[in-house]
Amino acid sequence: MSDTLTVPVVNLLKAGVLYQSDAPGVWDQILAHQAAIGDYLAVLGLHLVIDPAEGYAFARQRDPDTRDDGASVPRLVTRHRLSFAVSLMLVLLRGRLADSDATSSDTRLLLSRDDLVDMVRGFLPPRSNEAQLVDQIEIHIKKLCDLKVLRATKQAGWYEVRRHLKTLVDAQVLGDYHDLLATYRDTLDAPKDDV
Amino acid sequence: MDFEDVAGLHDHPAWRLLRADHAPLVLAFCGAVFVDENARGVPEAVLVSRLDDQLYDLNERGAGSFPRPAAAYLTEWTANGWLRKYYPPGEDEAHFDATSALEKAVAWVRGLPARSFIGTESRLNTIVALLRQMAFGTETDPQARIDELSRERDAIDTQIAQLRAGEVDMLSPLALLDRYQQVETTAVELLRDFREVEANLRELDRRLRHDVATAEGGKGDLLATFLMDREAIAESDQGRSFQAFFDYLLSPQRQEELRDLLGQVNLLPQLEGKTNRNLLKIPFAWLEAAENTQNTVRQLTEQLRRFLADRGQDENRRVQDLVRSIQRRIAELVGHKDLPGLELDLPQVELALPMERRLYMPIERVELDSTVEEALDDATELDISELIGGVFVDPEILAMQVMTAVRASPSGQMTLARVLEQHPLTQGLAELLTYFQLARPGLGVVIDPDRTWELVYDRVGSAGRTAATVPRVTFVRNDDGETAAEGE
Repeated sequence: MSDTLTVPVVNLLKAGVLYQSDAPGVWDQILAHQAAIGDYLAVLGLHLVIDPAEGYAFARQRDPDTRDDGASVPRLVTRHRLSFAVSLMLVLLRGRLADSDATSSDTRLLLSRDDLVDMVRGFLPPRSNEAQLVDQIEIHIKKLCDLKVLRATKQAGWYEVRRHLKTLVDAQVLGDYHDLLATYRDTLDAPKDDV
Repeated sequence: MDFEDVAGLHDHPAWRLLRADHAPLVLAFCGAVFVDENARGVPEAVLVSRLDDQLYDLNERGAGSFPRPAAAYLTEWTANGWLRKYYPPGEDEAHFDATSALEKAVAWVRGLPARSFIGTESRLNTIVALLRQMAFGTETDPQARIDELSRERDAIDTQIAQLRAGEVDMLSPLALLDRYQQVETTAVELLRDFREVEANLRELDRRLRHDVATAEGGKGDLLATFLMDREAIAESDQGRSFQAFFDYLLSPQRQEELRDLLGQVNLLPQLEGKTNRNLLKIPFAWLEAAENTQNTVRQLTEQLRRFLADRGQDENRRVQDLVRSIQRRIAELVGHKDLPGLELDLPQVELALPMERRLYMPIERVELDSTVEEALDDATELDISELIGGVFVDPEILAMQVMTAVRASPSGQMTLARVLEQHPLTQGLAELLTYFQLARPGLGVVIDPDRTWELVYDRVGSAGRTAATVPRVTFVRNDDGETAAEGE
């Protein structure tokens, strides 16, 4: 494997999501060697996702079923089970992104901490201690920043919703989650009926 | 315009501005910044500080009472459609620009005072010249064109003959002033119109988006392919007319001619004291404004293309439907424990090879070098592995201790101080720092840097005690996450 791939591949894997605006040099290399990088990552059981229009790229775990010889390969990328609150925020943020794309000409969606708190507050169990609730939500926000879905801007208290959320949480993921909630609801109802 | 039309405009932002209580403030302040200085895109911090100065000045002079902070006024003005707040690409700070409604209101108010002299002759000349251009430009009969051209030639011949005979016919100072005034108003109007052109383009973009977003199925596909043409905006009437102007302006020859003429006119002795020095700068202002508009066109085109390329709007609509549906579901379930979470592949690959860990090394006493070096590569995470590299602190044990303490506490909270009372530090600073990083599913760490306390602990590896100033740390039980952690 030629060493021209070293920089783009290592950066891709380390950065998680690589944005054109963050590393224009690496981005150019990724675009130039797109096919070769894709082949290389395929060896690792990964799959390269590039959105040239939005300017981001990341590596994704391939579906294990897609292997021809049926050998089982351990996953390189760990699957995270997110807490309910963080999942909820992801879903709501995805909705906000879709709304903003359909109505405004601004490609960047910036939300303040208060916006985020207001967004989820109604869906979390009410607490008498407001401050505690806000602190909790702040922890979730921090988690979302760790997941690179939110980016803290230089203006304190303002967060940018990164656009790769579109690919990360697509209609498929949302549909599955929707079904999961439905199943959960049914299991809630079922024992009651039996009693 | 009948009654209904006018009544409909009653709610136009420009009209509302004229009716607003603090209209003089808006018109004076925004007029100075955005119209006189022709600023386009002022950073929020700059605008706030300028407005602050102005408010302070006005309040001091007693010219009015403006009790609210500057930022609150800006927010209100933006909400009323007098200012546009936006984030330029690649910038984290919001910028402000005037809307065309504000420009119109400013222009209207500025036109109110009576002018001592109103040129009429030059405008009549302009109208006749324009009409002649139109009639001549569409004339199909060659004979008519020839007649017109010979008439012009005769007129020029007469003028040449007069000059040869020594009769020099000069523009009277009055006629000169008349013309100068017309140039001035047209130039400023042109500048003002750029904002409206920009607003038109934005409106066009919004309409296209709306059309695409609401179009159903097959029609949507059709529309999308039709609009995939990335020139949709640049090709509109507004876009084309603007492009023609921009091309004209960009030609260096024209620019030079324009500047020379303006300079020459400005020096005419007949206009002494009546010239407007700002007019000399107008070609630059045009160029700047036109460039700005050009950028807008480019950005809008680019964004529209992205929007359309977005694997069709069907996906977007489905996402919106699903999100709404999930919201309804969750709203029904509020209050239930153990709600399920998403399972996601996060693209990051974390490699931690056991062989990369260093073997145990006897601890050396290290002089504390408190200068902070900037991390060269991803500065997103502070790397403290150097700090704790020599000592291995097992965060799991600490987490267990904290968990037990938090569970035992009736409030579901526990401060670090209480935890340390029960489990004194045995590994010094490294252990203390590990406590700060204990956030994990089921356990939240809240750090309040404003409230600190003094912690005294035994030194590691030598006799004596050390004191540390520690921010107040509270561990919180996190109900939502707890089950997820246990489920794994």
